[in-house]
Amino acid sequence: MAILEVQNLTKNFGGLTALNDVSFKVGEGQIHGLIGPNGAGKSTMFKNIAGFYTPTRGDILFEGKSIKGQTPSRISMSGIVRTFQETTLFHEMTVFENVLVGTHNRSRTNIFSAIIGLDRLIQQQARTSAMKVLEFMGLGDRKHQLASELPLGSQRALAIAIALVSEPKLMLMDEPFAGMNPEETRGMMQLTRKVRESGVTIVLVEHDMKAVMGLCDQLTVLNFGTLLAGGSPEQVRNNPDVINAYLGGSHHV
Amino acid sequence: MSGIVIRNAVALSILLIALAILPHYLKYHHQDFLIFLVVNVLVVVSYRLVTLTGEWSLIHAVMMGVGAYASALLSKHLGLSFWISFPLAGVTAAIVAALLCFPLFRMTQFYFLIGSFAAGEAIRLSWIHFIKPFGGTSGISAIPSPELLDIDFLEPIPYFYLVLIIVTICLFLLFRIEKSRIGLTLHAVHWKAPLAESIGVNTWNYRSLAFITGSFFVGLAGALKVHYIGTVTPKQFDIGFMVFILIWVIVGGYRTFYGAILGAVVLSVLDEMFREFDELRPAIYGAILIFSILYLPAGLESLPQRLKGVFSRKSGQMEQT
Ligand SMILES: Nc1ncnc2c1ncn2[C@@H]1O[C@H](COP(=O)(O)OP(=O)(O)OP(=O)(O)O)[C@@H](O)[C@H]1O
Ligand SMILES: [Mg+2]
Repeated sequence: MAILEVQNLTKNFGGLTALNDVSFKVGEGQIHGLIGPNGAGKSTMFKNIAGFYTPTRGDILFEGKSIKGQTPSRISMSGIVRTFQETTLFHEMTVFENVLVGTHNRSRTNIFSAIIGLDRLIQQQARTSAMKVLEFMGLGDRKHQLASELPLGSQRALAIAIALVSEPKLMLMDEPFAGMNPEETRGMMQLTRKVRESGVTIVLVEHDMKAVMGLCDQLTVLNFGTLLAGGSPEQVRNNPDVINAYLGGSHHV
Repeated sequence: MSGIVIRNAVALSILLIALAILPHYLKYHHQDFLIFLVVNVLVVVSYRLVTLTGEWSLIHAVMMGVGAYASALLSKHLGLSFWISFPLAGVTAAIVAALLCFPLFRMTQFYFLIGSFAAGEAIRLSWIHFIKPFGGTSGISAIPSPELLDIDFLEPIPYFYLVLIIVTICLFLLFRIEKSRIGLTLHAVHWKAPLAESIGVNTWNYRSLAFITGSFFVGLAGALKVHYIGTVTPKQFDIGFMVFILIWVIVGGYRTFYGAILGAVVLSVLDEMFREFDELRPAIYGAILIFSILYLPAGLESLPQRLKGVFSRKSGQMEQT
């Protein structure tokens, strides 16, 4: 069953059409790749799904219900989180605090219980699950460090930890491998698989073709805002349109 | 960990005891000064709560006035006792703040600053304009003072104790809020609003929450002030006073809880010392502000760290030579 369904999505910025009538489906439990050259509209697609932009036309269904036009925080509460293309963290906070902020959805509190301390149990649970996620992402022994002091690979892992601790059903990852060396990439690929195994569906935007081909069950290819191709990595790799348009005739896939 | 807690608790107790003894060794008008100083501490700390989300408002002084007017009117015209009108002052300021959230938080940053100023002036002008019930420019006078047993709250020392106890409780509550997950989320909203939104934080709600809560506490501060002076006028809460709040917070430093307190205390004491040079006071204030922005951009709170840095650099050089 499709957990996410994008239907005829169009997004205009003034005169520029960043996305033009794009449709695709993401199956539950999959790692779904969204690829395409620079400026193809991948990040724009994510921002539409996560509610940061409102689609000009078309619809977005999550678990069969339309989420079009909802605010980012609403959408995140229903189970979709995104990570950002530029590594986005609370740099001024410690690693642990970063993840603690991420528990916001699952363990709500109000100002009165916060003052009196009535929410102690909830807070305890929040800290426990934050710690669990940090261990899961291999950041357990860095929890007291400031986020800004982490090396790139760990920063990316932390960005995913913040998303993961809110217990999403669907995670939109925007170029988690960018700028990584091969070893960091391998580590990140393992983490991505681990996240999927924990029951989270993943949509992955990535330029690193090795990582994409190695991880993804299905691919959707965008080019200049339009849908170019879709299917398994095998099918996409052999699709002449993709080879021509996207790879510019080269064959390093 | 617990060592630090104990040390802080001891330091805090000593401070409170010193504060409790202090007024007995002061002259009359210095006792007044001390009362206003403690009230102003509550003003700056509540203002810091508002700024935690990154939005600097220019309406905080007026919110203090909303509390002051509310308590004055309720106690004088409805005959409510101070013990009821005082909490209602906070509630009134919170309600007014909640109503203002709808227009104000559609704006951010510079527009928010100007918008908050305009909204504040609108409120202040209505105090001047509607003689009934607000009393115009001369405001409301003969505000009853609190009554409890036989204590004479017209005297500075009993009133000082009242203010000290209430402000200490308020500071404790504000501290709890900041250290709770709500406080953490407020910081998060400030530093990376989009990231906070992506994990389900409704930034609009949190900005409003900080604004309403801050207004509640400054409303209380307003009531504390005017029940001592006995009169409330629109002039007390004009942009001039707002600028003082800003200077206290900027000079003291807004990153930590105690920075703002430090700013209010140090600058008020300096101000009191320069009382004789009346016309020069704004100039002195201005010089201090410019100096601190240039040389202490992180505020007085960063001074210990900076000094430590200077000394360790010096000793480092000595080792090298
Ligand atoms: N807020 C915006 N206003 C105007 N144009 C925009 C906006 N956001 C994106 N665009 C344009 O939309 C197009 C798609 O941009 P997008 O960032 O989605 O590309 P992308 O596929 O993520 O590229 P990359 O691989 O470089 O990250 C680009 O031409 C971009 O300039
Ligand atoms: Mg992009």
